[in-house]
Amino acid sequence: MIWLLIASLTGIVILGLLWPLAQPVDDSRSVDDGDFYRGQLQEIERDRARGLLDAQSAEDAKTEAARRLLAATKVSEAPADSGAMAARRKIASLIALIGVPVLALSLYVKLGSPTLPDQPFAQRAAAPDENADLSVMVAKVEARLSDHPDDGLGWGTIAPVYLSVGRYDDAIKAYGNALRLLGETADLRSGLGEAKMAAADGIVTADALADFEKAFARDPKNERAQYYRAMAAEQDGDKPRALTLYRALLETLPPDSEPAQLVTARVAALSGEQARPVFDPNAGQSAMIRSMVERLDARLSSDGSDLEGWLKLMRAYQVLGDAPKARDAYSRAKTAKAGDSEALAKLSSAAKELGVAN
Amino acid sequence: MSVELGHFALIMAFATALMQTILPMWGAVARDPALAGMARYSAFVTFGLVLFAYIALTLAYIGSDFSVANVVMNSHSTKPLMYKISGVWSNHEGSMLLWVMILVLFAALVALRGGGMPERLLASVLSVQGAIACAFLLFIILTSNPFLRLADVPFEGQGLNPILEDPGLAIHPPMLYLGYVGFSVAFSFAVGALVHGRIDAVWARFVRPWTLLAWIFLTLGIAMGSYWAYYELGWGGWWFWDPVENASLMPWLMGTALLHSTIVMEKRDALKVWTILLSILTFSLSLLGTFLVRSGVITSVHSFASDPARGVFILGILTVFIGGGLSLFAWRAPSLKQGGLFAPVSREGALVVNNLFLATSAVAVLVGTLYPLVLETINGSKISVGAPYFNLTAIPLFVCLLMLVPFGQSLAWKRGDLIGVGQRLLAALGIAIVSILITFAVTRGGPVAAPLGLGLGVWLIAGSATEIISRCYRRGLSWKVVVERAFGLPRSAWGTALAHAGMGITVIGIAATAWGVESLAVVAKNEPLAVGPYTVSLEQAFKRKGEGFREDVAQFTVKEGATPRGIIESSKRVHTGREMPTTEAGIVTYGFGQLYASVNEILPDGRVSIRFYWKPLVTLIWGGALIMALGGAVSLADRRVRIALSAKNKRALALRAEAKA
Repeated sequence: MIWLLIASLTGIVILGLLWPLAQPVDDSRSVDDGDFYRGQLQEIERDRARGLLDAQSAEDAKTEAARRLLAATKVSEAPADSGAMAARRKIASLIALIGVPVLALSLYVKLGSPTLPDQPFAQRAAAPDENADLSVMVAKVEARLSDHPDDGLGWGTIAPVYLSVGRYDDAIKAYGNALRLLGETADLRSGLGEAKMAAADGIVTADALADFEKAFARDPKNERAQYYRAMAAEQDGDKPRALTLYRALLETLPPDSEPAQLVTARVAALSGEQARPVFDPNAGQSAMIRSMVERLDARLSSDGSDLEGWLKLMRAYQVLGDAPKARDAYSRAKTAKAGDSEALAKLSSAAKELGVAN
Repeated sequence: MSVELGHFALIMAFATALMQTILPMWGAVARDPALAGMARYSAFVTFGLVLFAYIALTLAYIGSDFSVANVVMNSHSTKPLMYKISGVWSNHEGSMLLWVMILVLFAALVALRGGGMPERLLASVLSVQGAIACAFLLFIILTSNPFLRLADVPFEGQGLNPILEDPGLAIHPPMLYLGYVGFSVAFSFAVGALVHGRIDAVWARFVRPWTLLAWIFLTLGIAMGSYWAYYELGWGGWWFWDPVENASLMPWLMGTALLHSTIVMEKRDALKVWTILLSILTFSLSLLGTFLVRSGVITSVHSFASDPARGVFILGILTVFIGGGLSLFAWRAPSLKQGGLFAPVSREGALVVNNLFLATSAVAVLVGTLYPLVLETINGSKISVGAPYFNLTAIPLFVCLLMLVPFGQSLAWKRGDLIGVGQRLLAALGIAIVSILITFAVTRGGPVAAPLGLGLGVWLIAGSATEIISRCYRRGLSWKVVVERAFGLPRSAWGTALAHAGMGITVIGIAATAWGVESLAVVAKNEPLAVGPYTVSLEQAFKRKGEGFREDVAQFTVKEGATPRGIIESSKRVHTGREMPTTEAGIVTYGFGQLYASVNEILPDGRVSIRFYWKPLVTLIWGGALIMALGGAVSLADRRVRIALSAKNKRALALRAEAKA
């Protein structure tokens, strides 16, 4: 269907381009400067007749126009040679007939996405198989919050969603509002800390740590607060304290649960003299890394402008041993950065280096 | 389907623009009417294709088709329809598409209106237009393609920036672009003439309406941008010598010079080479303006493209068109037939002076705009050339030029009579001096420059009035005849007078800023605060909900003496969803002045920290610009066919014509 439309459009365009060549050459159309001044003379005469010019100035104007007419006709060109003209017309028609479609189609095949259909919003929103998209929920809650900004539960609901899709600043605000409206809870407080940490690219800042400490003081069993307090110590280079805190957390966790595995991995990494933060691939394929990578993935899917993010994502998948996903990330990154040659170059060299592409 | 078809149409437009470049130029050089005749149709076809692509993109915006990356980045399903449509050009890719659409629209208009134009001139003009379109279409397709698709379609777009949702911002870019791009026609005419080696009054007559049209739009665009900055940024200023503002001012200055030099060329067949050069330079500055805003080399509020690959591409375009245009000029200009000489004291002599001033001030602005850039490239130091530089360079040039304007306007063509003109302008000068003295007396102890500036504005207005009056009033004529003669004046005379008077009005508005008053205070309820001649007092501070935002409003009552003069309110607005706070300035107009309120903070105890400005006559700045544009429009409506002759030199000409015959 699309190709049919493209073909018709091409046809119409070529017809339009060749139209003038199909017309007999009309010599009278090749107006020269002389005609301009002859027209001017007539104009002056008309104006004089209508009384816009008095006789004297009309006469003067005509004199000057006539003088220029003489000058113009003096340099008039010789007529064209008709045999060469026919040859030129043939070449021109060929260029229009072949050059235009070939150039347009080859560029379009390289750049276009002819297989992708239009996806207007209304059509997608009405589609029955729309499986309660996260963004739909966000949109609905946002709409509700816009009418009821004092709905603490709404803020509390949307805050972790913002966090998971990478809208960290929005998450900080939402957690803040929820805390203000619902009162202090360890969960919300540690969520705020996590949002701040995520906004600071995974660094537990003093500000975020204060939140975790508050959450911990309110509920010493809060896992998130415990975990990030330990991570703060680890990032500060205070290994003994980090180990103590991790081990304390491990005691409260059900053994063999995903979080427990994650913490165990941290403990192992720290005791193995490898004080590296979470993104260290040697720390094992923990659920936490998975979830962070997925979060990054989700963020990049909605906003693909972050080149560093794409590079990180490719590396993460490759390190996690998920080669298909790494390749997928590479191809999506290329789509997102299409047209940005420098970014594409960086992507492709990184892909080669990582073995994602060859 | 329509998105992909639009993408294809855009690529196809590149191919047809290439045809439009090559075949007509070949036809023009080989003097082949058939090939030259292809120019018009290929211009129509290219315009049709770009329009198709533009509509396809707009439809994708209206329908919130988030399979298009550009729509995802810059739109949102809940945006009001108007901002979905203006969202198309609120971003780099879309605005470049708008740029090209205006470019090919101008080409199509030239093709449509080109009936009486010599075929070869038309063919080469459209060919050059085609070349510009080619370059920009390729730029869009390869580096800034708005039609790139996403396989994973996000459900919602990200373009929900409430600051950018503003009618001023929606209309301002198309206006500026119409101005920038309009000068491309003058450029194409210049290159066309250089290729031909022929240039004369015919050329000037065809190029003039396009220059005028571009100038009108650029004037409106600059005025609108300035007003937008004034009411939206909340600083109360209206011109910041920001690089992006300068980027539009430079082509305006050069374009104004061009406008005046084409008059000389049309009327007197002189200043030909200079006019060609100005055409090239004006469009070069327009391109530079596009470059300054789009490449992100300059960090500024407006620069939203920050991609070096694009910058390099635009630099290439600049090199080809500016360098190419100037090289062609250097090569071909000496072979052009020079126009006639003329006396220094004459209308054309005065226009040369005007041109020198305008071109010099454009260069002064250019240096101030580019110097920091160059310095940063060379040794990495970041400096900012601010208002002091421009006040010392460009402003004195403007002032000198404006003082001379009434003289130039009143001088006759060919050979003017300076003393006669001086006598005629005596009344205007008197009015200006008297208004300066009165203003000094009234505003004793105030700023010195303001009354002088006001006098300059009055001088311009009175000079324009003198010109009109002296052309229709003679002692002894009855009023009926005078009115008839006034109606009989060519529209271009009225246009000139209006445009110069409009400039005078703007100057008065600018001068009056020196009398502005600023009050910054924290006020409690009903506590009076004096702002210039007015007293404001806080009526109430309250919360309010609008569509998509809530705001804390501070409402003040305004009194002049004891007379109530209404209310003024300013607010802190928070847009829901994005939680982004903005300040909404409150502006109330009294006469030609404006009271401007900008709330800083509403304190918990109900007091309000607020900034008030009283700006007398400030609206004249933009009002004057509107009148200038109106003058341009009136001039455009003039049936400029006759070769006007000055009454004084009729006999001399007749004698010379006889001698020649």
